[in-house]
Amino acid sequence: MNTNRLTRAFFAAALCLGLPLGAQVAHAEQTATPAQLVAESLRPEIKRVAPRKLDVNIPLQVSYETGAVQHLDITPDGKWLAYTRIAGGYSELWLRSLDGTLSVLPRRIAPALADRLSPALSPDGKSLAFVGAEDDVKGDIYIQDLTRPDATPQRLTGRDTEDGAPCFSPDGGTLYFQQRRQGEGARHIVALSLSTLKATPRVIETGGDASAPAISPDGKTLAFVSARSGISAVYLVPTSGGAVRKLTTSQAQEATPRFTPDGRGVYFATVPYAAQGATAESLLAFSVLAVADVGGTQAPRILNTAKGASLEPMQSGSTLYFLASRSGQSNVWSLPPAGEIASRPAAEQLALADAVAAQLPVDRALAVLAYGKAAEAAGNTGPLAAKALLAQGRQFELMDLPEAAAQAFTSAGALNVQPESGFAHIRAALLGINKKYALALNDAGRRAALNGGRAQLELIAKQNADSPVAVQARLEEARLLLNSGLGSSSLLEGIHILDSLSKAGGEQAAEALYLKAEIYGRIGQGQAVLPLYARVIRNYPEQSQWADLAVQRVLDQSIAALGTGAKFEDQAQALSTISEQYRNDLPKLSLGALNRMGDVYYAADEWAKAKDAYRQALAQRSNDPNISTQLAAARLSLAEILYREERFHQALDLYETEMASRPYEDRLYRLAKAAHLRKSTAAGDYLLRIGEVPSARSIFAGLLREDTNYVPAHRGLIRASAALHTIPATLADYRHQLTAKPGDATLLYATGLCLTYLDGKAPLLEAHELISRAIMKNGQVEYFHQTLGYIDEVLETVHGERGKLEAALESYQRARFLNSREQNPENAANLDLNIGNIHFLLGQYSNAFEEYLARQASKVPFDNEETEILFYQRLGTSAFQARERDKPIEAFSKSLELVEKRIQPKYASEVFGRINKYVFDRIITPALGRADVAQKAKDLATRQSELNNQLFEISIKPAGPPPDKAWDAYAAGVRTLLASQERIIVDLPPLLKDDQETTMQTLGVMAGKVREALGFPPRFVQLRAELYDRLGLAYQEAGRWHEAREAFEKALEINTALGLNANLAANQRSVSYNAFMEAGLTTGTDRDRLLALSEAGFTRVPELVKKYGVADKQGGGRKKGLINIDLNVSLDKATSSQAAYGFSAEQETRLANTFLSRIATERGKPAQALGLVDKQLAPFGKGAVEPQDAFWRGSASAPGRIAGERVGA
Amino acid sequence: MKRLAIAFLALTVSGCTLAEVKVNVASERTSLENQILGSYNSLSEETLLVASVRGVDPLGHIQPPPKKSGEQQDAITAMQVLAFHADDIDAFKRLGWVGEDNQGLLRGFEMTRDKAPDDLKDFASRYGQKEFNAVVAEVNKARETVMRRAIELNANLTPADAPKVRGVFAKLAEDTAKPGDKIQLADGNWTVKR
Repeated sequence: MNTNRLTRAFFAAALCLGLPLGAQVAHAEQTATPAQLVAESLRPEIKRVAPRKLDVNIPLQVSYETGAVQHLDITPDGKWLAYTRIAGGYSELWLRSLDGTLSVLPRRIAPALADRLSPALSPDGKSLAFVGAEDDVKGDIYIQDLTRPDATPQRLTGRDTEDGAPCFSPDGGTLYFQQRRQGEGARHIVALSLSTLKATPRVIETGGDASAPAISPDGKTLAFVSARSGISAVYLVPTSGGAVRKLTTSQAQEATPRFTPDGRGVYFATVPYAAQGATAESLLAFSVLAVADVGGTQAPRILNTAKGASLEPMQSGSTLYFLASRSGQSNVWSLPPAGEIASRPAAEQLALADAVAAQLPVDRALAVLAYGKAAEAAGNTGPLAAKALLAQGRQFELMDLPEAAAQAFTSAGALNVQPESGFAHIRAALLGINKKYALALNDAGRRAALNGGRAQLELIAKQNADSPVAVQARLEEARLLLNSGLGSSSLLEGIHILDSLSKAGGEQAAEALYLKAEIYGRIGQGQAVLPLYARVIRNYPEQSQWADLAVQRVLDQSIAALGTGAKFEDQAQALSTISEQYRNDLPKLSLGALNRMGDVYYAADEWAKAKDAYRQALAQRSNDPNISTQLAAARLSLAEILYREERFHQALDLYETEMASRPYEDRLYRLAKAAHLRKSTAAGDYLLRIGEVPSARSIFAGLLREDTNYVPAHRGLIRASAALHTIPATLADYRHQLTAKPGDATLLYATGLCLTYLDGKAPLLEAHELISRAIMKNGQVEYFHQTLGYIDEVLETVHGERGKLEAALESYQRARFLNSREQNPENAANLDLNIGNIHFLLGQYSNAFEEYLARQASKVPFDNEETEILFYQRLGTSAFQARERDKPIEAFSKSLELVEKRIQPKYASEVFGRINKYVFDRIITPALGRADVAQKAKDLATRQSELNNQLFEISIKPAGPPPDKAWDAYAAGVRTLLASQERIIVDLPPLLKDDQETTMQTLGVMAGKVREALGFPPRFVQLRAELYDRLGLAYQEAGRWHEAREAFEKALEINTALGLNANLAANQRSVSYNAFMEAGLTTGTDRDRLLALSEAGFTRVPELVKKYGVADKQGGGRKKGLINIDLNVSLDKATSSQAAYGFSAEQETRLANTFLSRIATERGKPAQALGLVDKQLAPFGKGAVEPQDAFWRGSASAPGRIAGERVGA
Repeated sequence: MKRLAIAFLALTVSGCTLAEVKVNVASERTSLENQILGSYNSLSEETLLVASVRGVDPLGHIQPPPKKSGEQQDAITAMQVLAFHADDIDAFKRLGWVGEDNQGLLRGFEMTRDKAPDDLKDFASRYGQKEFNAVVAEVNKARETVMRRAIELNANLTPADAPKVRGVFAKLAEDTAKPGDKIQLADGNWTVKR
């Protein structure tokens, strides 16, 4: 919502359709039923039920590929899906199970460094035909036996032909495909018998260009696509040869035909709404699915909305599958065969379309489809069809699709049903005029367009004399004159026209008055304007669209009269005066003025005064229905401010009040409902974060009272339960509910989610089973997949179950597809991180890097600093592995910066202090007032005070982080005091009246946190050393030797101080190497100094190797380094994953000697250099170098890079 | 008949008198009473913690109070208002100027000064009608906030439960009233506690 104009933003949303506010439509069947979930959260007095769902079929996503899926085929039993996806620059071929009861990972078929296209599964599912391009870039047909894992694909065509789009005959014995021979322009359909593969394919006579074959279930008819008439269209021909005929009468582009299972119809993709000038690109952008009967030549029936380029429809069982890019990337989706809107009587269809069009936010593509279905149901004739087509045209106009709108208006006009056909003619004429007007190059051209348009409108008015059509035509003519910008004479003409509309009634009269006021305003007749607007408000209050607009115009002009730059106080004063002046006469205007006053104050950051203004508006309650929009605006604006002030419950109550007064179909109800859901969830999450758990719980429970299936509320309730340590009770509750409704997807999920909060593997396995069942019931909820991914991730990273990371990745990807980044950016950021982590753990660093970049770009704050530190560390590592130059430096530097801030040597004292405060505030002080325990409390208070003093004493002594010796003394002191504290805690129970167990548990946790805090400084210092090492490496890769050397020197210094001796050789070598490289860029004494430094360092390396050895060579593995935003962050685990790449002891020593010989050469000591080389060559001569000591072992890099650039790795 | 034993603890914290109402279980209570009074007690405890001066950690740093939502802060402020006026309200009751109504609120009566006890004569003479009305209004506003917060803190209550919550608070006031205080019974009639 606009932050400065609350009520105006409200009106913008409410008026966005240009339709009357508060429009009501017929009630549809109730589909949402409230049910009790968490028993104690429910009361018998439920005021309202959840909104009814519109009776439309929402497409379900079937595949969740990150690379575009371009082709698909499905076995007739619906169990297997073959598809292609773009990955690594090629189109790969994959096979996966669609059977929800099978847990089978997708399998890549016939991998090759070439495109795999157009998969076709044989009816028995045992063979797969496809197009391959490895031998012929034009494409060859291959066939693969799927029953043998070791089978290789067999090529069926040669290089002399261009082959594509294979499909099997129903008996599986023949393969049909398109073919173009050398030197020919047109394509043919050919049939190849699979029993005699070597025979030449038979050409089927289609009478011209033919492609994309599909065979009817009885094998007798071939459907194909041909561009023979100039546009791509579907044709039919008997497979045995015969007459070719076009399937539909449509002039739209058509593609990818496929027969219905009963053979009576053909599905295909088409572009019905952009027929004129449609190109192949527009086919992709606006294509929808359609079906047409084979028997007759007729218009196709559209099945879905033009959202996301629908292609390749095919029915398997009772499901219609297709490709669409609805969620960004092209993937497989499904619908019932009836499409998004099932057939029903025309009147019901029209009512449904109106309901769809009245939604907020409105799905115009669905509204277009719904109105189209209504016209279709009415047989495209009669009043209902005319209404539907007119409304469809209006939707197209709002979608800025003028050609499609003109087509709909022309169709409505042709039905000759008044007044709809007349209105349609007017709209069509206006579209034409607008087009000409926009194309005009000068005033003369514009005047000509205007005059032509006026003539058209006058003709319509004349042809429909004394009817609303005539009035509307004149109104539009006046509006044309108003908007023409062609001078005052045009405006005066407009007034004359409006004055002549004496017979206008209702809305048209209101519109006429409003237009007149607008024209007077334009010609500067200010004194006439306000009375006209006032007449609109007074005389036509029920025409809320015009009355509300008039209110806004009056207020705009009143404020404008104060001059630009008027103080907000003056504006508010003027508005207050208007409100008072019209309080009784024009309550709508009076309320509007108060609302605007609220807006003015709000924009000036005077929230208290803004609230007063809105409250004043609400106080003017009345039963007058005509002011309901103003009251709603006041209520929702007040709610917005209260929400921002974190007075969540009051804000939510206002939304509730607004909703309670309206039927669900009402757009204001939907506006309030959407805000209520979004804000309730966000408020609950916020309150949980700041620890106001009961309040958060109350909000989530409130949401569940309205809709027991609202998954975010269940998640919130369960998180609250975890915070209150009541998961076992909540779990028992959900289990109880599940017993009553064993198939309820939400309950299955919630029970599973509760289980993930318990320790051990068994609860996780049960959670996995329950959530998998939930997904089988309803696979469209992102959280279901997200939690399943989390469980799989933990099962592998914590419990060592192999193969689970891949499953987790797939689940997270599904969740991300289902999650709306716009609506839920926080969750999108979580999923980016989750997916990045899995790629990281799988060693797929480029992918991890991309995901981490997306997480970083989201700018969503991290839950805690540890997660952020680890995130940047991993971002740096994956960027480094992806050969990025600057990003690793940036990421490691950021991680280091956060670590530096986080190293607080005496953090344990802060945590300890909280125990002291808790004991005093919550236990001892209340007990002091109880006579029965006062003495005991006093004794304990003395002990606690003494302990606190001792803590203060040891805390104020200076001590740096480890390895500072003073820190060791500090840590030992804290440990001793903690033991004393625990002795005090043991003596506290007699002072406790209620909740002894919880209090003791809390104190136990607090003591544990002190111990944990003592562990932080050493861990962070160690992490700091490692990060300096990583940063040094990143600088080194970027050729910034000086910074690299400094970073490695820091790492060496810290590791030396910490006694992490195994790292010293590598650190020393890196320092020396970078000093050597830096020397190469300098001259004179600087060069000498650096070479000396390098020499001294490399001389020291063998000593360090001998004394301390080297760090383990193994890099991070898939079991290491789990990090998940839902998990406690473990820095130890995570940072070890990629930290220990390096060389063997032998390699380190040899490397040092190599550089020492180079340095000797550089410093003009050839004899010394030669001696060192000889020393190194000696073992090779004897064959004494072990394989593990060769440089190419143990590194992901090519051998050639080791000795040089990556020597610091 | 459920009886509630109420103990008042007057604590002097940072120079401000805070009346902490701790409701102890003396006999069985209804579930609703338990929930509401539980919320009230936790709010009371929170108010005490906010006022605590021990906001300094062992390193000598002043610990900022934990972040609170606007609505929680409103409730704490309301509790502080109630505590601030607690002595005056006690005096008003002894003077017969206010009584506890059956909606959990104070109801003002005529400010008669002639029968004021000796220790309140000076007090009674200093108070004007305007100031008296302001105090009663402020206390009632704070009580409304606290009652609303009690609903907000209970997952199984909604604003529609406000009458029940008022009833519980009225009952609490009735039980804690001292002999001579005016109270309004559930049937709307006024009486004087014996």
